[in-house]
Amino acid sequence: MPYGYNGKILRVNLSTKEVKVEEHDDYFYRTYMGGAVLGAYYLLREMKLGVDPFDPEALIVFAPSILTGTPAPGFSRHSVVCKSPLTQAIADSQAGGFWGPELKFAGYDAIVVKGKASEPVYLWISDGEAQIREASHLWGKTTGETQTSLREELRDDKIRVLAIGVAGEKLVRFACILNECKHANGRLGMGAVMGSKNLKAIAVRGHDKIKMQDKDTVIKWAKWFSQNFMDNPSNAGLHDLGTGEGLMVLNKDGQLPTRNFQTGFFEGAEGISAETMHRTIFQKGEGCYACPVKCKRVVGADKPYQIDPFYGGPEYETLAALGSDCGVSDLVSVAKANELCNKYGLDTISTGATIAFAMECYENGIIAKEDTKGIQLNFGNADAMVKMVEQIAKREGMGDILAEGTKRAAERFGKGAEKFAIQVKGEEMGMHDGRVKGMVGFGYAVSPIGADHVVVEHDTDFDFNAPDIFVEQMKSLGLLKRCKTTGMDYQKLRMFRYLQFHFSFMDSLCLCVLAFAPVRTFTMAHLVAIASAVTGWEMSLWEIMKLGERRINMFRAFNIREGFTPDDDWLPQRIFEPIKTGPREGARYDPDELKTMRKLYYKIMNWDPETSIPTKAKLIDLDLPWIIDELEKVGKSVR
Amino acid sequence: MKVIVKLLGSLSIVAGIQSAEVELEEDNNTVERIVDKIVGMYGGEKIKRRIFTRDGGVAVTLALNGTWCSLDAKVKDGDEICIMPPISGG
Ligand code: SF4
Repeated sequence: MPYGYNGKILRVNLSTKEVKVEEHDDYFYRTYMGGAVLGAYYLLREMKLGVDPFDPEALIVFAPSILTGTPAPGFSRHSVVCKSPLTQAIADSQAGGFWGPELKFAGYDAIVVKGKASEPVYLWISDGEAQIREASHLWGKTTGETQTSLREELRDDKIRVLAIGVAGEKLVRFACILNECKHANGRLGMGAVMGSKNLKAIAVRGHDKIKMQDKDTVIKWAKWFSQNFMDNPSNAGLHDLGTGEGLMVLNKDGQLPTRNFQTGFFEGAEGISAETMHRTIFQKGEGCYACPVKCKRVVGADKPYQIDPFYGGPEYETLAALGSDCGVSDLVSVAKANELCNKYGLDTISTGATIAFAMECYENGIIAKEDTKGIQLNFGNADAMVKMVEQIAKREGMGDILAEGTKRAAERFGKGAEKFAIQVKGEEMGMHDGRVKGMVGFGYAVSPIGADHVVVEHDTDFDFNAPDIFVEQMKSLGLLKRCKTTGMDYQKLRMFRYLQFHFSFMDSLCLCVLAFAPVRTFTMAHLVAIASAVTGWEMSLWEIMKLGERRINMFRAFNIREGFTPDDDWLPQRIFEPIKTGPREGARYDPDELKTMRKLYYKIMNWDPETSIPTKAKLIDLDLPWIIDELEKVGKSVR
Repeated sequence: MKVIVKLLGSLSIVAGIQSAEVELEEDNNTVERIVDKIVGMYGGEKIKRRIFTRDGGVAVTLALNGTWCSLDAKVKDGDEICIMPPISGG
């Protein structure tokens, strides 16, 4: 009898309306485990070279992991994996909340969707039964209206709904997917991929709990977490103020992305800070399945905008992207923009970054008032920022161009606009400055999915000023020394590699990085103990790290097949230029250092240093020999 | 001597203040002494639990006049000390 997993993967073809169940053996589950790795398995196996993300032949995979839904904090996430319409590279994005556990309770380990429905549809999965149902009445509706309507229609208010909004329907290239209308698979446009398939939502309900080999051990550690997480400095802050707690500290250190990354110090930071939120519009903290940290915010306000608490509240990335990066210091406006993003299904990071890009274009005369239909798109104009969110979601006016993301919009605008597009491989940069955090900057460059901030644990956590506990908890990975935050050197390259594997296995086991070591409460030893207790396998950190390495190699192989080269592992020009003002004035990323470290990274990964193609030896080492054939089939030489 | 102490993040919520003026009679002081004073004046055990880990390690980031510092840094009249949560990812 399997523990942890159900042994069933749902296959849905929306073109033929076929729904079937696929079963795999223990070997399959122990090799691919779930989340990003499981998704990459299907994309590499079944998606043909060069298929456009919006083509009916494109696949989209919804995958929790073998551990998801176990009653321990941080085991609540699911991944969505597809080819990104923003980057044309492989994409994965994780969401917390409740949907992943519910899918497991309903009897499935993943859903693989292909094809395109002729009319809008939704999937209804209930205790092992799956149906494709008509959804014309939901098309054009917000995520909230969709969820309410489905719960009424299916007569169960405990149904967990994952849905897209109008942005996904209109194929905004950074449209996201939400569950509970506030937990987002935020990045890389997977909402648009659902929209391209006429798939509005996936509603799930299940009553079976996860079968665990040693439930008592899992419960024991879950209780331990609840009793101890307030002793962890990061988790305590997350509980009290959410991820926004760091905003003022980043600003004090001169590394808060401000006015499209022109500087790292925002004079209006206090206005959008978590402290101000707590004192003004904060209503309560909320969490994901089985997690007492409750780091999510719920906010409400009446003026200058009415904010509906139903859609949650802004997290750090949102506060920075729609706040400081747009020069906006009014918290209620940022909260309104956050609410609109969650209603319409937009990634708050790319939305904010794209508006910031447009603001810089406007201030430099690349776009004018005539283009924006009279909106004065200057930095700091909160009203204009909120209006642009509406326009992007609905593809109205200038929003139609911005809905393509900064890279494509810059190509449309011309006149040198590309220097204001702060993106890698087409993905807008997360709200952390690579000129200050060296490993994060390096991760933006070499990550297969683009400029994502959750590629590696951040440099500042291991700096000479960081708390001892973070450094101590990193030692189980064999990383023993503190580092300086800026730049890269040999020691940091080694750290990057290990910490990248670490974040990579988190995304594959669908674990929350805000609950685990090195920085947070659960240690690596806890993870191994819980994973072993759930599955009944005698697991080790070695095996789990290898899973992380497997994901990175599978992702790299997918991109290589699609024609990506080392030239794509690069940073935007702005990051090579010095920060203009503030405490970090003058900090920049050195392009020569990036070139040197990039080559060394390929070597350390056992990839071809000239092409970045994983070697035959590495693919064999990771039990992925079939990928050698996949690459050779399309003319890529694997050495 | 008098110094200004600023608290950021959840520390300001737990202590119930964003900044405070701390007055000390002796002249020869360190950041540690000021932190002790703050613990005594605001929040007691609650704030102590946020500033130090159970084994006595420092759980916060400290700055003296805008520059990162450690507990044993010397302070002088008119200095500004900032006690803030660790700078982490987002
Ligand atoms: S730490 Fe926050 S994001 Fe992570 S599982 Fe808990 S509530 Fe969810």
